Amino acid sequence: MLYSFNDISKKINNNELLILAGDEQLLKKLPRGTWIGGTIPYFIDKNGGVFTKDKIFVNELPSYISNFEIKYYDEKNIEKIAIEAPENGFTFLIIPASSEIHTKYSQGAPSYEDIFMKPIIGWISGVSLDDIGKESAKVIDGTTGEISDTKAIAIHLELKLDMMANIGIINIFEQGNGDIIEFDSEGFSVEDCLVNGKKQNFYDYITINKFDTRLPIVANYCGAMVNVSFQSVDEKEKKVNFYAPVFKNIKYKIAAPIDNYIQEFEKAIQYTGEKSTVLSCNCILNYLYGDLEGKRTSNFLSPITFGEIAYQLLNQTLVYLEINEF
Amino acid sequence: MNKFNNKKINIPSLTNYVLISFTIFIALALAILEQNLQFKIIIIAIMFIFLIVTFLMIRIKNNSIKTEYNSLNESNNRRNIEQIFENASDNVKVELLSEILSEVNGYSKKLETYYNLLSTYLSNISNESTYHEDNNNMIKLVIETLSNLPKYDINNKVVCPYINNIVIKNISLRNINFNNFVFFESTFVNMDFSNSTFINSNFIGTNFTGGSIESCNFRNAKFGYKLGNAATPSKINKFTRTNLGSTNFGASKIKYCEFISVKNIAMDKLLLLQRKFGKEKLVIYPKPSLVPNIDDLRWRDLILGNINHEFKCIPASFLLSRLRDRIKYDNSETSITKCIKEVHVFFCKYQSLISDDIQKIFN
Repeated sequence: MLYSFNDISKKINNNELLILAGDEQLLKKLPRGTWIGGTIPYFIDKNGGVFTKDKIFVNELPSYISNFEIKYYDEKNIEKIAIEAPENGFTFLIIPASSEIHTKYSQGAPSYEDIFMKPIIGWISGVSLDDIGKESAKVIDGTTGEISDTKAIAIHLELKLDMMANIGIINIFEQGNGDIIEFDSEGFSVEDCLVNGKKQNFYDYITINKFDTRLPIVANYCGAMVNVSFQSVDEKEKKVNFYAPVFKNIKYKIAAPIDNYIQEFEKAIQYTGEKSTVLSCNCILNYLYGDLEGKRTSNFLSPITFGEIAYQLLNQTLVYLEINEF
Repeated sequence: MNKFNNKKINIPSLTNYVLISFTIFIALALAILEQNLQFKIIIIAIMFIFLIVTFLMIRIKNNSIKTEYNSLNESNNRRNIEQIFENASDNVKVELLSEILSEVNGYSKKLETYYNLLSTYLSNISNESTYHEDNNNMIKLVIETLSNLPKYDINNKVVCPYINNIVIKNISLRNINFNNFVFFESTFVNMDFSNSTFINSNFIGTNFTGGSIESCNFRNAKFGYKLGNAATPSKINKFTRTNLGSTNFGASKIKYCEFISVKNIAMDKLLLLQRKFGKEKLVIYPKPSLVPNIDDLRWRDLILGNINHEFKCIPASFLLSRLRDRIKYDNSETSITKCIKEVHVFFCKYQSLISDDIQKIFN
């Protein structure tokens, strides 16, 4: 939920455990305390999607958190994030967009030890779309005030043994009925692909078939639909760039078209049922392509981010965390 | 011990007293009426001799009864009581009957006194603030004594020994008869109760931590039932890491009981008990696993993609997808076994989140 600078300062001074999202200038001025934050000026609040540099979005962490640890990760130690996560709890991770660690985590996370054994949720920090290339996305450790555009900030949160954190995703996209696309290289950029087993230049395939690149390519991970969103198509180099890496041996399909973002979100939320959500985040591409400014997606109030983390990096997906008591 | 020892014997002998009094009266009358001093002295002397002889005779008779009585009682433990009674003289029979009556009349009261005495003493020396392991021998003796007391009074009414608010550790109480005992808010740590009987006993808020109740008989024992005053809320009983080998709770009555990481009892046996009494009444921790054993061949089918299942749980989807991908690169037995282990660990940890998936995959 969005708060004024003064209200946030009061919360920090009350020793509340917070995850913050907002403009860099505001975050830098906040008092030190038990919080972490990332830069982003887009949000879904009570009144719907909004762009603001004057307020800060707050996720207040529940009081039943039994223990926590705030830690910076860089390219050298990010592989240990799941090993260092509590046995019962969850980790919230914010990674600055377009950093080395962003690339490293996106490509490597699925093979990190214990990565799917402990819930890791988070988002990719960003900047105003007008400032891309001028300013860098950042993360900040509220306990020390250290700000970074090269390292990721994480907070490991431990839960009591009778509680369990569970990460869910709401993806309004499904695989369309089209061709099966596979890649023989991994990364954020591709040249060639296999279309129904036949090698082809992916740029050519996209342009010849006039695909709408606002729709992601979707892979079915044993029931979980995972999007990879188009960033750009490079005519000169005949390359296609993505917001998340594509992987080998995964069968992708172009997503089925969406008529109405809001309706599709409502439908998907109804399908997944009522949630006792503690945290959530939604993708900047949903905000842009779905024209979410002034529109609200059910009860999910969240920052609008440059990528979502549910164990691994996701695109065009709403990610949430719920905590169940047993 | 001879229960009749050191008792004073009173033999009723009214005839003797009348005879003696009459003799003294006649002798004194003759002595007064007789004028001759010589005869007076002779009459008085005869009277004294008669009295002495009479007293001696009574004394001898009393002694013989006492001797008989004592000799009979000394052989009490060796001979049949019926024989003793049959061989006793009438006087001794009367004495025996009076003693039996007195014993029987005092039985219930004495039993109650003994129970109270021992239960109170046990509570005093082994409550949370007073218990010390140095007293374990005394505690053991008190409990053994308590367990050996009769469990029924003369009217055949059940007498319940109370074990109340005690905390004791590391004592062996094997083969003890705890029938009819009431265990109230007590804690037993690393106690060995193996082969003991707890028939008709009652457990209210009692915790067994560690130790053993192996081969114990809990027939008709009640766990968590209200006692006496129905308004008194009942309290949960717990067995934590206790050895339950060969102990059957099937014939007991369970209202509130938790079995936490108990040992030497098969999970299916515990589940049967839980089905009998209900999940709310018999709680098992850790919760019974829905996850099949790692040797189950269906794990292999799941990893190799022979079982196709679409998960609702995100990490399960990601993990299985990743493992199948790994098998595409390396389908050696070592790699398959490693993947099965990984997915099994995941299923065990998150079984509560993926219970629907587990049921669908493994029927």
